[in-house]
Amino acid sequence: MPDDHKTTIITRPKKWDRAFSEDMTLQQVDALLTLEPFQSIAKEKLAKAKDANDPAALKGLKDILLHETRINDYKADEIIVRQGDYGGSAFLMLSGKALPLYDIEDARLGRAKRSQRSLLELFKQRWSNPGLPEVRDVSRYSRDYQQNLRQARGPVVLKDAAKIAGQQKITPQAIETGTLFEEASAIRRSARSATIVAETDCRLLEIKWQGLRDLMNYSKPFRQQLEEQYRERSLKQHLRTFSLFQKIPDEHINAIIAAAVFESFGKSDWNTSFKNLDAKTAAERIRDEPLIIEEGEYANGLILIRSGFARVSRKYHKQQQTLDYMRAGDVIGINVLMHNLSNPNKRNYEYSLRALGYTDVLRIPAPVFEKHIVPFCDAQALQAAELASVVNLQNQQSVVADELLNRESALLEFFVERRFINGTKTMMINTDRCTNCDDCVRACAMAHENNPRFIRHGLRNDKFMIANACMHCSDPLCMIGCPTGAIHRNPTGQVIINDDTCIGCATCANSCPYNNIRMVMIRDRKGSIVLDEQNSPIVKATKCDLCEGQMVAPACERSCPHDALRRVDIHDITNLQEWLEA
Amino acid sequence: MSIRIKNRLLRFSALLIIALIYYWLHQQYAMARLEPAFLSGWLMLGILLLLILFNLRKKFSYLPLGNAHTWAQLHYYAGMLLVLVFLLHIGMRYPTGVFENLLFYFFVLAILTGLYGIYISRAFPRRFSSRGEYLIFERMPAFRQALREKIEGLVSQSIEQLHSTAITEFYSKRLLPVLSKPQNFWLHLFNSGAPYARWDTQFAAVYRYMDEKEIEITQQIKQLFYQKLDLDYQYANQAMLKYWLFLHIPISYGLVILVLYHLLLTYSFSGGL
Repeated sequence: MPDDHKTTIITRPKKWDRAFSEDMTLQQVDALLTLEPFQSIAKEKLAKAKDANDPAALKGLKDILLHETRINDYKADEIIVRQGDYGGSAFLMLSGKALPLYDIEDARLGRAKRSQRSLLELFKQRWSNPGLPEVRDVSRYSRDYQQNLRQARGPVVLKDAAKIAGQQKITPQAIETGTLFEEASAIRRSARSATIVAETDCRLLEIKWQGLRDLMNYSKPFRQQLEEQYRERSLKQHLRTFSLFQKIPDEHINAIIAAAVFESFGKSDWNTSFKNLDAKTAAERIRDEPLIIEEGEYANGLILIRSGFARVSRKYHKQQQTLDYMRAGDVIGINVLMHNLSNPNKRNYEYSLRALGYTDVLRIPAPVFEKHIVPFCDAQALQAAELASVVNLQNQQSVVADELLNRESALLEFFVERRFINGTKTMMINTDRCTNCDDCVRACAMAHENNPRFIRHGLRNDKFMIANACMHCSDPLCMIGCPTGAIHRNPTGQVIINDDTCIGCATCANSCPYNNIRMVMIRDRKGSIVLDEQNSPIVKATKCDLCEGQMVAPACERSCPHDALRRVDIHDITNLQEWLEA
Repeated sequence: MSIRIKNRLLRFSALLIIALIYYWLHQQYAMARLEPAFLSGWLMLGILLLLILFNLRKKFSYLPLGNAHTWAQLHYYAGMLLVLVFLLHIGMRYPTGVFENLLFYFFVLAILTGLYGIYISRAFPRRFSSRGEYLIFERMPAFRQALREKIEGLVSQSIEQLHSTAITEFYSKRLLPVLSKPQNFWLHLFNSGAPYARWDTQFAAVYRYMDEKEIEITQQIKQLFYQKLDLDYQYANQAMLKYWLFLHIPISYGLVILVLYHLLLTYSFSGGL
């Protein structure tokens, strides 16, 4: 390195260094405090404050609004959010009206194409990749650069929105001024349930999910209000997404909602207890999982998993054997309830169901099932709903079922216990085929400026290894604590880190239950470690991004000459089977 | 029949059909009084270049050039076809002349190292799960060092607590010389049990001169030492999988250079240029 090169010193990034919008002002924040729900939150805080005139009493609330929200204006017909995109924010309608629309073809939604490097750029990267690890273009972290980037993005318009609204199966109910919407997808880190289009010109307050989380922590009544709102508004929509409920008339759905029991098991920050897993025996681990239903218990209802995962097990000798697992959208109990409807010899639940980490379930009582569901579905469709929803491995005759249920290798136990079932792109290596050639590591490094984004090492069970690579979880815990929203889901559901807004706090790395996020010190283009004013190195979180921006992806899987490595979703049995048998 | 066997049969059948077509073409050339060596020569060059492209494809993994597994299969089967074309090209005779001999041996070596590569890439991975801890090759020296330190800790303990001279002597004379680097490379490569049997005998011999407490510590040392033997086993097999390419690739590139020179000579002296 040349001697005359100066070390790059930048200001250490902090939470709220960069507001959601640079245009948000304190005057706007004050104006927001006159509107619901912020007015109530402010009143509650002032009532609790020793001195109601103390400006510091509302500082926390004002800070959240100043840094975590922005005001967006939309012209009529502009798309606000698209169905299927992953929600990173909720919206409060300040003025105007919007319409929720469903199932609109992608071409009309103007989805941004994935930014992809050209063939020439790809070809060049073999020679242009930096020789040193973790080199960054530090100018990207400047405020001006980010501002220009934001301005370059334009609005998307849905032509004939009114006509489309008229063609919808269910007449859309307009979102009026004062309504908070899309909060469920923001909180649950799930896909948007509808495409929301501005019906008239409207002004919206967009609240980042981190802001929403902060507000929920700041005010208990606000939290309760949001939860109640979800039960009232989103549940019907949510139920409609399950095939089981699609043909049931509205009045019966309402009756189901009225009778359904909401239950939550476990803790949403299950990663903390999960890290102590090795200290327990297999039996202790299962015993510690909250029981949802127990084998042999009277079958009093249908269980529908709303979010999270659950273990299906049956008594085997003195312990439990995992037969299956369930995830959001799966139903269990149909067969036994159907049997009990037509037979005098009643059957009990034939297996136990336990919450893995955090599980939200909906329990529909047996009489409600009989009265409001059975008349609208034929018996075959009902049984198919249960068969299709759970993996139902015990009924399958296949290589993959043999591998997973084999009691000696206990592969399914391994996947469930270690929560690899959370992954949608889990890096699974068949060690009977892997020659340790490291072609996968090299290909990954090549696609990421010479920085491999995974470690070809990890937990093993029999011949399978789950390598330390981001699994792009269906429930990404890493996103929970991120103060800036740098770690987010892209529209296709992949979990991505925005290097520009990452402040290197390591919250995501500590939250990831699988240790798949690495904190790295960054270098400038000349190779020097980037420091802050106190001479401490600037660190950034890094992980697999499934080769975002590359023409072919993922590089690791494509580069394995022995077909020993696959990015798998354990739930996708067909794909897994094809690989195991090939 | 499993999908894997079915796929393999399918690929072999395709190879057989291509080989038969080529054999028929070769015969037709000969019957038409054309020189079939020109046909086989050019085909060989084409196949050779295709084989070399596999290595280049690895270097451009980010380009849409098909996945490496498909390329590997193509590489194996094209290599087999190459053997047949080569045999027809040399007329099933041992070549004469220094240059032809050199070309012949380079070809044979490239094929043999290639076949060995296929064998070890299929057989060796299973060995990694059969004995010892599954480790990344680059982490092995650190693991070896850690084992050594644990053994030394036990030896120190035996001196402090038992004033044992037998353990110290056994350690310094027998164990220490083999703890710092990998041993029995070739024996491990052939999956031999000899290193374990040899050390079983040596440990059994030294127990005779120890009291019960010393034996207890020595058994702990033996357990750690056998982890070192397992590590050597892992090392030998992983090293071979890594380094066989250092034979196969230079020989293959050498072969291409010789083939190009052969082509030049052939056309220079046959009036073909």
